[in-house]
Amino acid sequence: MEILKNIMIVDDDEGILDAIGMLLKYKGYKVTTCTNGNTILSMEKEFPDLVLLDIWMSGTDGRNVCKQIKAKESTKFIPVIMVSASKDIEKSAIESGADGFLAKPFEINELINTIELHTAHLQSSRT
Amino acid sequence: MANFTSMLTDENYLNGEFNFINHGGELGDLMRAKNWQVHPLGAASTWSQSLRTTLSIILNSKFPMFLFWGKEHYCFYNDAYRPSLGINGKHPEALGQKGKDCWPEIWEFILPLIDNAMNGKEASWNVDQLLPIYRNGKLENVYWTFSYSPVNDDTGKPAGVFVTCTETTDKINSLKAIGEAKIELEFAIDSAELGTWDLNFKNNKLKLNDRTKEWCGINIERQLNLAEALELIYLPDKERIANAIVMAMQFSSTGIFNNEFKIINIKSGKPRTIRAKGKVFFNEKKAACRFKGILVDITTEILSKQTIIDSENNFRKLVDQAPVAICVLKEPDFKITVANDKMLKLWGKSALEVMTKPVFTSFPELIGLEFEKLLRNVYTTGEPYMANELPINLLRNGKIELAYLNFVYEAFYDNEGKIDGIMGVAIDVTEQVNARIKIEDAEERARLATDAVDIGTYDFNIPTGKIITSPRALAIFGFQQQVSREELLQVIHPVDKILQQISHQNLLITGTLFYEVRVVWKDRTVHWIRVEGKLYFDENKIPLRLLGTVLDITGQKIAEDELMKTNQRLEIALEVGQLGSYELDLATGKFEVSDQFRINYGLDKYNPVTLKSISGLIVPSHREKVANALAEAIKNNSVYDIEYQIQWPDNTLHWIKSTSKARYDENLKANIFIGVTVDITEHKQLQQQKDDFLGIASHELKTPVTTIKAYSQLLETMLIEKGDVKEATMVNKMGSQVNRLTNLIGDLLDVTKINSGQLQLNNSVINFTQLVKDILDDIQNTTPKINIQQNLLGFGNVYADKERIVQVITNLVNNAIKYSPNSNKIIIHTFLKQKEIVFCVEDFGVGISEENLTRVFEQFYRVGGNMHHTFSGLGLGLYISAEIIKRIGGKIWAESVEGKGTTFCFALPEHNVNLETNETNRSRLIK
Repeated sequence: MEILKNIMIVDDDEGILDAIGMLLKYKGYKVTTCTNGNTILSMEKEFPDLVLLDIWMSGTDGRNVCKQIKAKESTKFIPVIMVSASKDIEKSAIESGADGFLAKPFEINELINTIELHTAHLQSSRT
Repeated sequence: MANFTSMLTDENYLNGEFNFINHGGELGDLMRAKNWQVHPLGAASTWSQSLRTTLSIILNSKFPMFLFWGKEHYCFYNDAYRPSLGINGKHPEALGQKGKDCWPEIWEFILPLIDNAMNGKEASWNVDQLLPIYRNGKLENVYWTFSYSPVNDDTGKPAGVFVTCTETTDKINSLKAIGEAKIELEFAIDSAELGTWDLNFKNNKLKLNDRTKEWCGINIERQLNLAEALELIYLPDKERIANAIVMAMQFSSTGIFNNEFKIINIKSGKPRTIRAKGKVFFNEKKAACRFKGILVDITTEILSKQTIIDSENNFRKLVDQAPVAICVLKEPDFKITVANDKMLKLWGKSALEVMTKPVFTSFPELIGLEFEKLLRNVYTTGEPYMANELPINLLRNGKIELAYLNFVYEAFYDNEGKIDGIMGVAIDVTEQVNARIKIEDAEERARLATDAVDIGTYDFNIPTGKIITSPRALAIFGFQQQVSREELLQVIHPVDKILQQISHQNLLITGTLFYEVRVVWKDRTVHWIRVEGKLYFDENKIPLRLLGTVLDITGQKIAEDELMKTNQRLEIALEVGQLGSYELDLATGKFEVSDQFRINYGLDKYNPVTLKSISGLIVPSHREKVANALAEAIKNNSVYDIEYQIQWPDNTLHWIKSTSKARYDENLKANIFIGVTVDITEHKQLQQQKDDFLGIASHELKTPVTTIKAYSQLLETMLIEKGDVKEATMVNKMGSQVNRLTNLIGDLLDVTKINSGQLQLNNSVINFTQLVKDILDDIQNTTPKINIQQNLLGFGNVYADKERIVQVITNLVNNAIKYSPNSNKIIIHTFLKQKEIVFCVEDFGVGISEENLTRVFEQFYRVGGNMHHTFSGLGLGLYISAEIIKRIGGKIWAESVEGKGTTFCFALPEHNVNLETNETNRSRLIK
């Protein structure tokens, strides 16, 4: 039995959460959404296979969240793909420890390819 | 009658009447021919024997003889006597004539002589008696030596007087002539002051005339011999003269003696130069017998000769030392006989080249010119020729120079007052003329300058009260013709009158006049004038003249007013705009600032302001930027326009915008830096807010777009799976529009970033050609209708932001496609040129007019207004592309022919392996 990849989407915009969530579910992923980066930081188990992390969120800078994820022993293995409306932010995103970067708006193929790229090891280990 | 006479004569002759005079020459013939029968003496046959005998003697004698016969003293004479009667005189009528009738002119003298003889006295004898007689048509002085002796008749009584005579006129005349000649000779000797000598070799006696003796200082009575005479000769000459005498005594020498020597006056010791000319006479044995001659005192002559030589030498010296160039040209061919150094210098010739040569040989260029004519004129007429300041091109020091010369050519006279040459004097006045020309130029310039600046002048004669004003000065006062000083002063504006009066009072103290007043012309117009003057005094320090100038300064006054207003406006503007102004003296570092400047820098009026203190306020990270901008502006004479952050003394941060420009001195060296500063902190905050807003807005816009995009893509996928193709296509189109919206948002965001200097570049080494190929292939795939020709010649790397390069190339290519509605072809060129990689897009579309070509890279500029689509619709695409290329360190340009097409190009530095350069480029690009 195929185990669905668990993608966590962190964005303060409900629309994004709904649309991207729906899309990824349609594409065969298990999707968890939260509007706050703190959710993942407080998780103790059942970590997602990949985090799609928005950078500009009200009250939180995604890069800080990323740094914390990468700083924490229990979560640092989780691939983090940072998402932002500004392409220019890519560099600082990578610097804060992100594994990948997507600029909004992105093509559906772009999203899937990026996710697959960073979760390929799961595929092989699970199958 | 003739026949009769002849017959008679023949008859007489035949009769033997004249047997006593058979011959008798001409007179004999006349005697025989004469009809004596009609003569008181009667026929010859009746004459006494005494008479006949006497006549026979007379007529046959060759000695001149004459006979007075009888009481009437009838005259008879012979051929020898005849010449004494002259050619046209008494002969032949005298024959048989009465003595009284024949000799009326001397009858008184000879009658007593005749009577004496007739009275039986002894014969008389007169020698060289002057008896002027009439002959040859005139009374002549005739000298006679004659004897009157009685001739007795047959009875033994004196019946006639026999005269034997010789005319001695010739002798007397000769004697007289000799006498006169002697007198003349003596006179001549005397008047010529000649000395004479006569040496007789036989007795060695030397005869000297009185003068000679006088010269020698010896007594007139004294007699000398040759030896004694030689002693009188000046010792050094003595031997020479003795030898010369010996020489002359040789017969072969012809005896000529001609020598000059000195004699010494034995009384006075005074020397005297003598020229002796004489001759030695020889006897038949060729032995010298006499030595005679004359002596001339030539002391004076020698002296004069010496004087002439001295004078000639003096003349030459004078010529040589003269401060002017002098030459003397002699004889008709104008031989140069004298030329001093100055003349030679003037000619540029050496003495060897010209001296004693005709002037026209040395200066062939002068032949046939006016010069030759005027020389000849001077020579023939003696009239001097003068020319002043003649400009002449002279070959001097090997080059042609323009010189000015004053010439005088004057006739040169010889001792006899005859013209025998020309004296030329040339004075080089080049320097004077040049100096004068300079002065004239300066005067002319001053006059021109006065005219040019419209200065009026006046000359006020204080004692007479008269003023002379130049036309311009009058015009400034509003007059067309000369007016009195009072009239001039009347037009001064009543309000300004006091200024004029005060100034005139000061004039007497300071000697100078200066005032600026208004004058009111007749036409009621008001003009500002400036009057300046200087007072001149006589030797008693009494003011004599006031000289000065008048200038219309109306324009200047207006300008001053304007300037004042402008300055006021400027001050107001500075104040209102809160612009702080400053002036920085670049040489001294002196920094002058306005109050507002202090406010902008958070300084109070006690804070010292220096370049250092102000620089210290700039935040450290901005200092280098400011210094560079300052240097750049000074170097390029460009406007320094920079924004930087400062930290006020109260530690608050403020943004300053400074706009400045350097001022340059006459040597084009920047000396002062003038500018304004404004506190733009608030503006910066607003800008930041705007940029933040735009950034947030774009971000916020992008979020829903991302959502829409996700939904539409999901929807499209779902519809395709369901087989709803039509709906899927619609959703796909919706996606395209979302992409377009995304691009617009992207552009807005880019412009915001460019404007705020926040455009970040993530540079890396890019294989440029490969990148171009990939982009073109992508575009070709989406636009199959357009034939994109690839003419890619250059291969190389660039160091740039890949995403941005893609953006620029895509922009340019899409643009080219968009603007080629009637063409389906574009050509892409890449090539290397001078270490740059050039990229060009050539289209065959609508083109861009020349005036718009430079504007296409401006923000919001859109070609052709609304008629055409721009690729992004906002007019930002080319602006963004241009900015990106500039930030990367490249350049961008466009070439176009309207209606034919456009070529857009950009060039980027080729990236090579020089790491240092890379690093420099990178740091610059990041900045």
